[in-house]
Amino acid sequence: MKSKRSGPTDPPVGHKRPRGTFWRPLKATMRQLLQTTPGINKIVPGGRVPVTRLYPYEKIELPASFRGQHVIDWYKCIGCELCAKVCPNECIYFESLEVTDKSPYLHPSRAMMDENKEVVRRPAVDVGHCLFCGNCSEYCPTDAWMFSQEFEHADYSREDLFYHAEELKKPDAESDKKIVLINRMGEHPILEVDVCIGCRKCERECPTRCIDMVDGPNLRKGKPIVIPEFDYNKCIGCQQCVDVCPVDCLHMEEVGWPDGMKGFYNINFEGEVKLLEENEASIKAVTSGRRAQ
Amino acid sequence: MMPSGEQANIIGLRSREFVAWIDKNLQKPLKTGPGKMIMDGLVDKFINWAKRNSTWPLHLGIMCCAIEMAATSDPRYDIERFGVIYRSSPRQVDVLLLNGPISLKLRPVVRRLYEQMAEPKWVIAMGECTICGGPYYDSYSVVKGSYTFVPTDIFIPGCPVRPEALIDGFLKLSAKIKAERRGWIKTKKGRLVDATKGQLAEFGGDYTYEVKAVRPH
Repeated sequence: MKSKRSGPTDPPVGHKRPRGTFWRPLKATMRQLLQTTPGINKIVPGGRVPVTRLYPYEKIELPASFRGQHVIDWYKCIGCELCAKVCPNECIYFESLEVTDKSPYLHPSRAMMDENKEVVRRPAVDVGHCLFCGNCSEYCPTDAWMFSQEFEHADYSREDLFYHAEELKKPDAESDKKIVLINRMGEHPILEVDVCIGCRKCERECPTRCIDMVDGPNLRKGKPIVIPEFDYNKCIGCQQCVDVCPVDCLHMEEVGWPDGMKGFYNINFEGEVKLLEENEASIKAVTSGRRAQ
Repeated sequence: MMPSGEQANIIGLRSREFVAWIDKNLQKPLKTGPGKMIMDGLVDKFINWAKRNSTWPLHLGIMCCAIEMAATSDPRYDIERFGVIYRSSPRQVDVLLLNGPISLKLRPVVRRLYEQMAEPKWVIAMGECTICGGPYYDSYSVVKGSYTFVPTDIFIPGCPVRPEALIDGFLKLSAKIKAERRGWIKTKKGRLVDATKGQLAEFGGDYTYEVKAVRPH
């Protein structure tokens, strides 16, 4: 039994096929044929183009923030090993390279103490282990880390996925040679004076030379023990001093931005820390002179 | 004279033994006579062309790189242009496409899949998890790379791998198959490596090459 609401199911007697059931679908089919035919699709309104990108010949424009191959600006890198510390996969290794004392990569402000003066440390990456998370470039205190758009890393052996420092180097001409110093960790080393033995290891290791050794309050054989004094304007929070300390007298503490973050700090070639705008003239003078040599 | 199939017991042979049998009874007699010119110049080249233009991977998704594997076969990238068609049975495929961290529990399964594939076969390690464990490199349950237990031919780093990078990996596999006659191929850095087989590290101990049989024969 049917409900009252349901309409008539059978067509009324004498029903004719509605007009256009043959021509209208055919017209639609012909339109689609014209819209998708190569050549004609450009003339016909609403013509479609193929969506396939012919990859090896035609490459898709990647977003600007795409992280591909690592590129390191050797002029800016100060060898603080902060990238290796923040790397979640621990795939960044540091290579020590011997250079002459006239090397442009050996910035006076970041040169090591006497015996290490002709050594620069630059990062090398195991690309086969890299997460491409971008932590290294995010935390880099001098903005030396970049990522290029290169993504074709595929290779035939595992060993060739280890990229040495020279292979990740940015070409010298592309570098703008402006070092900024930003403490992106938001932490500074704090000293426990009574534990310190005055070994000067932290002073030797500091990549920005922000540590100055001064006489401390404690005495050994009648003479005061030297303790490190930190210049927190220069400090980038890289924890190198904490790592090398043999007696664990240093620890990191959250301090906050020095003088309310006026701008980017910069080390010039004399080793003075100033705002970047004040230092630009001296950087230009020195780098142009080096190029002439 | 070629022994009959029953005599040689072809049906009971493993794939590798079958290839050895073919080599002994078909390739060797044909290649030591007047047929050598034809076999070397024509048939081998044709077989090589056929092999490198139909690298069918196994449709096996382990983890998130499988999403990119699926995206590679969509109309935008269309990997079937290169004769790469995903098949669901290991008997029908040439390439074992591993895309994700291989846990210790999955390792015998992957090894078994590799054994089930018919020769010639290749392995592609896609993504850093398959290459070396990735972010789980410290985990007790993740194998430190597929090359510790299956000979891996192509390593594609990335997290995840872009679809174009996967296509690039397949093209490099084709180049490797093309270089089989030559015997060596250049890596991206210009080093020469063996083109006839994949890389297999032998650590010994926990990571052994041979995986125990799942079921006794």
